Amino acid sequence: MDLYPFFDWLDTSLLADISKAYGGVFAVVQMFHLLGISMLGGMVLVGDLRLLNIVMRDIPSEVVIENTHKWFNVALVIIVISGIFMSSAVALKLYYNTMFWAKMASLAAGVVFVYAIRRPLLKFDHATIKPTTLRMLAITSILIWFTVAASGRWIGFS
Amino acid sequence: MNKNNLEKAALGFAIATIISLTWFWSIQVGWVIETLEMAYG
Repeated sequence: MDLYPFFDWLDTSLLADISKAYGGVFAVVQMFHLLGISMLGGMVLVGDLRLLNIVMRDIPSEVVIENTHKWFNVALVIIVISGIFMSSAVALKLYYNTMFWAKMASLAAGVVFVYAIRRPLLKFDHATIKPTTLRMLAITSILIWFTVAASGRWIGFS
Repeated sequence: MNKNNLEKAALGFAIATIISLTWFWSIQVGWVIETLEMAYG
């Protein structure tokens, strides 16, 4: 499926007009994007390091996962909305950027992983889940979200 | 999906992710090393 028509449309959309013409608006939206990334990264690290038994050992992991997941959702919504706005400013450039597609692929993998596997599995009592599975779940989660953030940063250098 | 299937899916996803991301990042680091070698010999 060729997504070029979508990027072509985005490049000439109202969003693109605003993001290209008003540097101040772009900067504020970018600030929210970075805020969302740091919030998402923080929630991922706290939840996964708890699953690895590294931090907050005195708090049940179910409680930590439940609380971090709420803010993970908020952060993801902020990131996606601000990300669409920011990408409208350089839509066609991004279409031809390999690292952008690496970021999108890892983001898609992360979303599928969180909502189809991690979240449903961690709704069960963690004591009934094999420790190896919990550790693999945490390591995979950290790796995926690190890749999303790092490949996103790499876009600026490629 | 029941818990056993979810655990299997989690392990399968984890193995696939670790293999593919190791491959991906080794290529990226390879490119960086190649660029540094071209720049500094």
